[in-house]
Amino acid sequence: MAAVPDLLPGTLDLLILRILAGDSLHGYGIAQRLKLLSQDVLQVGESSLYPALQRLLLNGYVDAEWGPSDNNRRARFYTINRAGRRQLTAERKEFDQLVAAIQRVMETA
Amino acid sequence: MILPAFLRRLIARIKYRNFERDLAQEIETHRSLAEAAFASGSDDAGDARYRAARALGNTTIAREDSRATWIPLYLQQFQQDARYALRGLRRQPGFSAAVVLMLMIGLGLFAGGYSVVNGFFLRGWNVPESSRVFRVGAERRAAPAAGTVYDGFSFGAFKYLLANAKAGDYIAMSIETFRIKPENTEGRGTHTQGMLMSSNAIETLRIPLQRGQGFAGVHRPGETPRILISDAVWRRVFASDPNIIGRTVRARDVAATIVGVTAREFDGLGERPLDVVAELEAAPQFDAGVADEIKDETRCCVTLVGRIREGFSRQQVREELELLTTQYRRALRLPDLVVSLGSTAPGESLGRTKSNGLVMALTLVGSGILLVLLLTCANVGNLYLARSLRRQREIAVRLSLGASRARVVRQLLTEGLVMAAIAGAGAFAITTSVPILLHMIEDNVSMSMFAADWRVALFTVTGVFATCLLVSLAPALQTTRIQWRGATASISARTGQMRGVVLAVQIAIATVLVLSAALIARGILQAASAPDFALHSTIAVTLQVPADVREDSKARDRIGERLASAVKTSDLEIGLAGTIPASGRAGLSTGVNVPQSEVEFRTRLVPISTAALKVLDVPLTRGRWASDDAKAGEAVINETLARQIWPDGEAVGRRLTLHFNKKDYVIVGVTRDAHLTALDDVEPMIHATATSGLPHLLVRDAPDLARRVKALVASVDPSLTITLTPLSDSVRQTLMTAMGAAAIASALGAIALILAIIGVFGVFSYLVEERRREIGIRLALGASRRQVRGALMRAVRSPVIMGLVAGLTLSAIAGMALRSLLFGLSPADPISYGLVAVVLTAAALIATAIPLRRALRIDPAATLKAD
Repeated sequence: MAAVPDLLPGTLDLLILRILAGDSLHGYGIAQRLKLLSQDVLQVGESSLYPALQRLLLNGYVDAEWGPSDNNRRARFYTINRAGRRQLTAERKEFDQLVAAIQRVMETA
Repeated sequence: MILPAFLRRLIARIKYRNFERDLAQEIETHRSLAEAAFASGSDDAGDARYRAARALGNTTIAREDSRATWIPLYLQQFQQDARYALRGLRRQPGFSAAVVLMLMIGLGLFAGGYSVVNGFFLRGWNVPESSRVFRVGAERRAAPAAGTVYDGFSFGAFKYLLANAKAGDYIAMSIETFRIKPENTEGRGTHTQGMLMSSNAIETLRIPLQRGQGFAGVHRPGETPRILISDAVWRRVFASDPNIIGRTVRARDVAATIVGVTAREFDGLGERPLDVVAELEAAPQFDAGVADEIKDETRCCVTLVGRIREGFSRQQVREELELLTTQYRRALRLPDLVVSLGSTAPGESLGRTKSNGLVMALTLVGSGILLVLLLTCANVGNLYLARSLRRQREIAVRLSLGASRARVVRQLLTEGLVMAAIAGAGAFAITTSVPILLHMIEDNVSMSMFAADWRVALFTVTGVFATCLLVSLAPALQTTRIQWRGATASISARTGQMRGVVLAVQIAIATVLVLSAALIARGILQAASAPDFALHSTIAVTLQVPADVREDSKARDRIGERLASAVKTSDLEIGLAGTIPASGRAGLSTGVNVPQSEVEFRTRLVPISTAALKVLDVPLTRGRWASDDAKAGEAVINETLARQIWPDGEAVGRRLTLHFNKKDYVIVGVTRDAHLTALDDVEPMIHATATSGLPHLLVRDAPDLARRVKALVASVDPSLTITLTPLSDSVRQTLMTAMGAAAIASALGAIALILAIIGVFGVFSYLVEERRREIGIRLALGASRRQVRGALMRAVRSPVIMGLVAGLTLSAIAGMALRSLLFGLSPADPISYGLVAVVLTAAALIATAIPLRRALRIDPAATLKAD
């Protein structure tokens, strides 16, 4: 497992919501998508996705549904719902503000 | 629509409740997908599996983190601790059984006592929404000394309320007993408890019926009275007759129609079983006690009960009731009444004196129970402390592995809670048996009022938590205070000190309880053996007459008169009495008042002739004896009644009126107070000549008594037969109530003593266990057995002395509180104190004998070899 850059707390949930906003995916799919989109920078220990997913489930931001995977195994597909989308928008706004603030500090200090 | 967060979480919890199974399967799918992906890039299956596992990372942590998402950490730890505690319970069955049993006794008494209080004071009637049902209290504000003014609501006032009240529904009622039997049958019928109730009562109280419609419409004078019967009467008297509704029966020898059977689960209102309900409006037909009040609607009093209507508050009902009562009474020019809404709890329906007595009795028993519970806690706490020595290594290891002290304390508390919870469950089961036990003592009381309900359950749970904290917090804190000495750790020596304190508390409590029991029992025995009247030299003679005379009141009166004159000329010391003194509450309780005053006093009429009072050795303190001629209207009263009515005046020469026969009497003398009716308090009494009916004879014991009495009675009427009973036999009846108190006190005392013995035994055993090595070495070095025994005794000396001193001090205070139960026995009764000293010494010997024997049998060689 490559060195994982420390994610800001809560960011993993945000990333998962963002990935699910495009498509329903199972856990493995989310991990692959995360790896792909971050160009291998954000390689989490893949099982640590699951506590984050359980958190999203408990908060009611995503729904889970069992279905067949590509190799015909039973996989659990996650779908973002309306509460999730709203949460995503809100968190994204916050995140953008935070990143912008950090950047401002980095560039002007 | 987006649901609020808490609802979303709730739904998620339900929808994904199998999260652990789901997660395991999900991770497995993930692994297989990853493995397949890696395998497609290489030929080495083992390598693919390895790489998939690496990519997944630590799945155990992931699973634990997920669990923590769904179940808070503290709950998980609680589960672990509880499971650990249950394993420990199985590992040490003896210790666990002792702890659970002791706690169960303590908590059982605690919860059982509460369910009695609950039944008397908190629980309303057994009807739907009983919290909205209230009793109407009425009082006239006069300033009487010890008496009350008899006033309240008349039937007319009730009708006025019924017609005008908007906030509440009202019913009127009166307590009655009924003899009931099917029509055209012989015999007197079955005696039942019942009530007269206004015909709207069933629907207002919502008394559930299993058959029939209840009273529909109001009863009109002259109609056949309608009655309701209970399930029990329906089964017992009418053999579950399916066509019971509409059947005509005899109630009090009056034809009545049955219009309903109450539901099986309904067994009475409050403390009163309710077997028969008749219409109040039909009271004159039944010749009931309130017949006059129903015929004359302005006459006081009927009992009022109401139900708050939907949408109104208690306050509104009270204000409306006040207003309507004032309107009604002003219109009739009656003095104002102060009204109040009381609960339907049975304790509130008792008179003030009875209620105060009940409160006091319950307070005393309650304090006793609390002390026993405290003793139990001390015992169990000490056992925990002692056991903590054995667990010292386990706890030290846990602490050194990084568990925080708080975490270990929590674990120990959880273990305590598991024990307490098991005991609590047992205790709750015990409380469910309370009604059955009470029913055995007093079968006239409705059982359901003492049944365990949610309040008792809540109380038991609170008790469980409280005892758990009390019992396990201090040992837990002590045990986890580890002193580090290099690589080893030991528990602070303060556990020893603390055990000493707990032991002292145990001894103190046991002393208080045993002494209280001894005082109460002694008081009763003294009262029974040395009464203030001639109990042991008096024989009571009961007369039996042939059946035809029994039915004929005139014939009975004639025999009474002839007997009275025969007694006067007899050479025996013999007198007549309407009732046998000291046989329960002998005599008739009645109101009494002084002419031209509305203030009413309660008294007991004990009809007894002057000769009989002389046989009983009850002397006059002032005035003279009353004439035995009933027409003279003379009476003597006892000092208590004289004091109550004329607190600072002369009673002799005054007049008073008895309510029950509405007769005037002149007081000619005052007798010294004697416990002629009950042994606890001397009741206010009036002695007037037996008015009518067949009297009893009281005769002083003499040689050849039976024959002489028989001859005397035969000279009056040869058909009479007699039974002679020593008066001391009938006093036993009276003693039963007091014996009840003594039994409760003794039971608590005995439990306390047993618990104290177990406690001292436990402490002493552990002391010996702890010092086994030391004792062995001492013996090896030549110490005598006596020296060893002395050393062990010294170790418990100061707690024992401390406990005894505290116990005796508290006992002195308890003695004061018990004063009213002691029948005049001094709270500092030396015999009781001596008895307690003997009992406690014996208990101490029993408790220490076995551990001491074990200590003295220690083989020095074996001890030395063991190291």
